[in-house]
Order: sequence, then C-alpha cells, then structure tokens
Amino acid sequence: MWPSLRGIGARTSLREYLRELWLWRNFILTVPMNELRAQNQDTLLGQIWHLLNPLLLAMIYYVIFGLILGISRGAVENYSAFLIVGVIIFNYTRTSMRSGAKVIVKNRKLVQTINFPRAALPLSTMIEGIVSHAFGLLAMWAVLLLTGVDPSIMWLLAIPLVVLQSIFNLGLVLFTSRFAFHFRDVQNFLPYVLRVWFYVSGVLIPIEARFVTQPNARAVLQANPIYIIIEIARDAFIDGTYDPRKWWIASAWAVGLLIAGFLYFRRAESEYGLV
Amino acid sequence: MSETTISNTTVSPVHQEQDTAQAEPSVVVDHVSVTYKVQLDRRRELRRVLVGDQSRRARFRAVEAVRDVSFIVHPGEAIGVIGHNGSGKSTLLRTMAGLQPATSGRIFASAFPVMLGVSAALEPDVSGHSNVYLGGTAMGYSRAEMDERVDEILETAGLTEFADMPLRTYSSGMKARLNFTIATYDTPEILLIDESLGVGDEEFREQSEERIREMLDESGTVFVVSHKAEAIQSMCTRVLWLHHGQLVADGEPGEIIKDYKRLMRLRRKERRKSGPRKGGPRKGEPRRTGPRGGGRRKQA
Repeated sequence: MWPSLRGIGARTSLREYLRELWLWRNFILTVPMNELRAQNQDTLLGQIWHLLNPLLLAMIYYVIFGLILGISRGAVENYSAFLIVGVIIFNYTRTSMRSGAKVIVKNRKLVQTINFPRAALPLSTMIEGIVSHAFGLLAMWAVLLLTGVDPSIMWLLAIPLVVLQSIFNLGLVLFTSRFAFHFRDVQNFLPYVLRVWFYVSGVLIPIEARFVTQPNARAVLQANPIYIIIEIARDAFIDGTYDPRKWWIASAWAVGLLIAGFLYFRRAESEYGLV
Repeated sequence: MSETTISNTTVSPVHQEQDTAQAEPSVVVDHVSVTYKVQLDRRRELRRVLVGDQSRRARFRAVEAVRDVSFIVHPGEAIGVIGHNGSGKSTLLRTMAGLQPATSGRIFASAFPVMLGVSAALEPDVSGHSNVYLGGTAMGYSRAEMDERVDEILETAGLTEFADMPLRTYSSGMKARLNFTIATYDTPEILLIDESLGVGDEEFREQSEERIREMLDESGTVFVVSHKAEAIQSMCTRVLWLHHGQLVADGEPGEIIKDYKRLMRLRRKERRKSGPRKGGPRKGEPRRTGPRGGGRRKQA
C-alpha cells in the first residue's frame, strides 16, 4: 500500500548490516580513542602506563618463574625473552575477552537509546585492544633487545600477526559479548577460564617432551590456537624464523571463529536494547 | 499490507482530514504488543541452564507493557504520548525506534525513527569538543561531517568557551544543552523525545521547544513522551493516551488532556483515601523492573 515504508525491527540482510557497520566506522574508531585517553587521565605517569603495565606484568613472571622457581636454568635458552613474548601475546587475547564480556552491559544506556549496528561495540573493543597491544609489543621488543636478542627482518611479521590475532580475538569477543549479555555470570567466571587457558598455553613452560611426557596430552596442548599464535610470535621475534604450517592453522582458527562469532552475535541484534 | 484498524479511539476532525488526503503516512503501528519477561531473581542463573530449568515459572513474570496498540501518523504531526508511570509510553517509543523487538505486531516507518539524545554516548572524562565527535559519530555521522559542524554545535549550545573542559565538570544544564544540540543538528524525519523536555533552565526550554517547532515545520514527525500535560498541550497537534499499555484515546489534545488530568486527580484522591501505600507497584500497574546490576557507564 505504501511502498516507501519500511519495517522497523525487521532483520536486515547481511550486506545491509555490513554497510551499516561501515557507515558507523568513525564511531567504532572514536569510542576506543576516547576510552584510552580517559583511562589514565588522572594518573601521574599518564599514558606511560600503557607501556609500564605489560613491562611490570612480565617482570613479575620473570621474578617468580625465572628467578625463584628457576625454570630458566638450562631448560630454556633466554627465558626472559621466551616469557615476555608469551605474556604479551596472551595478554592481548585476555584483555580483549575481558572487555568483550563487559562491552554490552557497560554501554547499556547507549544501546537503549541509539540505534546503531550492535557489532560496532565488539569492534571498538578490538580497536582499543590493538592500540594497547601495540604498546605491549614495544615493551616486548625493548626487553628482547635488553636480553640480547638480535633484531631481525622477521620482526616485521608483527604486522600480519597482529592482524591475525585481532581477527581471532574479534571472533572470541563476539561470542563472549553476546554470551555475557544473556548471562552476567560470564564476567565472574571468565577470569578463571582465562587463568586456566594461560597455564595450558605454554606461556611459562614450553610444551615439549621434557615437560609434558604424555604424547597425547602434548598433542592436545599443542593444538590450542593461542599456543600456536604464541609459537608463531616466538619463532618470528626470538628465532627470526617462520613456519607456514603454523600460520595456516592459526589463520583458519581466526577466520572460523570470526564467522561463527559474527553469526552468533548478530542473531540477537534486536534484543541488545533489552540489556 | 493488512488494513490497520484503530480501535478504542476518539479520532479528531483535524486528524480525519489529514487521513483522507493521499499523503503517505510516516509511521504505521499495527497491533503492536510488547511483553517483558522479567526475571524475578537473577541468581544461580547459569546453574539453571546447566542443570535444567525446573523452576522457570517461579523466576519469570510476564509484564505486558504495550497491548495491541495501533495508529497511523502523517508527516507534520506532533504527537504527544501521555499516561501514568509504567503505562508503556517509553516502551512504545523504544520499540518504534527499533531499540527493542515487539512481541507481536508490526511497525512501518518512512525513515528510521530517531530517539532524541546522545547523552549515553558521551564520555565524562574527555572534553566537550571530543564529546561532540562521540555523539555525532554515534548517530552515524563521519568525522569529516563533524569537523564541519563542531564549532556551530558548541556555539549553539553556548559552550564555546568550555569546549576544552572535561564533560564531567559541566553543569546538568550545560550537558542537556550539548546533548540536545548534537542530537537535533540535523532534522530527523521522525523524532522521538522521551521526557527530556524540562531539563535545563527556562531559556533552554524555550530554545528547545522552538527547535522542535522548527523541525515540525520542516515536515518532520515528532513524538513527545511526557507526563507533563502542559508541555504536550502547547506543542502537540495530537495526543495518544496509554493506560496500562492500551491505547485509550487518540485525537486532539484539548479534550483528552482534560480527561487525563481529571483521571490523575481522581487517582490522587483515591490514593490519599487508601492511606500511604508501601513501596512496590500497585495491582495491575506494570512497572518495568528489567534486569539491573552490572557496571553501568557513568551517565553524562
């Protein structure tokens, strides 16, 4: 009867949705920039904290596992380097998932009053994560140089690696943000999940025959995608090598998670306003 | 599309005239109902999912916030939505804005209805200047577009000299002005206003009413939700009265607002007679007690 009227609250096509996300690209960028700026505004050291945080984190693990427990002795050559790469890489995924769990609830007012493609929120989480991860990588390279690692052309692999891990993280964030929208409990138990994941991801101890003697257990641990990403990073930043097989597996994980996460997140698109 | 019937309404002559014209409507609300499933107890939720869901009925209560509401609106109409607390006014508006799904029924519109206000997008710890960008991009404008209008917005809001101060240092009036100015820089085809009139000082209130009239002249459609009958009387050409989620009157403001005021007086009297009541909603008075808790963004 009235051809120019459109249904409100009806689901848009995938293409239309992606187009809308593109329209909101400036929002996706503006939110995390202001968030980052606001974060350490009242602190004495200000934005230096973005660098200090990962350094302090690595230092704690170094003191406990390297010096006190003495894992470094003979087991891993240049344990500090081994440790910082793992810590920084894992930390990126961890902080992304933790802010992903909060993003819908935290922006409740926004979601209740303004209509925008909701995937913009997890996306802005990802952008925020990339920026702080960049600081983490700088801190990591500083430690690597201090511990006598020679810079190599392979350090440039950081760029595709960040892209890969960001896609991987975004997939996870899309999952956690919708899941946490239905169950606030996620915010409570997620830290424990992440802690367990941290311990089994070979951040502190290499997953090798010396430490994990059971071959099946070793195979399971080595299939962990975040472990593969950490290995890629160690190959590139410490040894200056790369293994295409690991890149392929990690990319498959990242793309698969992104697609699955996006489809899962979008299915509740019209409900997020009820948060 | 099925014929939309408006039941239970008093249609004014003015309104009928507009209807008979061939003009395309801007909003069609077709038998819309919204039912909230309110969780009475949010604890042990995950366990329930893992173990099974035996006690579901005890933990949920259905609240029918909007019941079978239908109406048609044309460009240039200023619609006031009145009703007691919890009558479903805000729910209706949010559903029209596509912010939450209708449980049944359909809504059609000539453009995406826009809720007035970007305050939720604003960040208290960054400057007013940066917040203009935040608010603007939240509405879907690009940074380039905001570059063009940022100075004008700050000037219209009278905040040019405070542009570099963090938003949290602003008074509530200043914040309301900034919010309103960002949100109404462009005239949305269909604007929804929820109780936001009456914020800020007298001068700003006049200024904002002025702007709303301007937008009406530009042939937009405006919905105003308020329980302030005066504000609605002075601005609106048509009133929708919601009572317990049902549309009980639809027409010219004069009579309806008179009736509405009479009912409110009666209810007040009745309440005084029955003595002070203890907290909690009255029987048959749905009140939205949606899920709460969790980190709430500090509201600007």
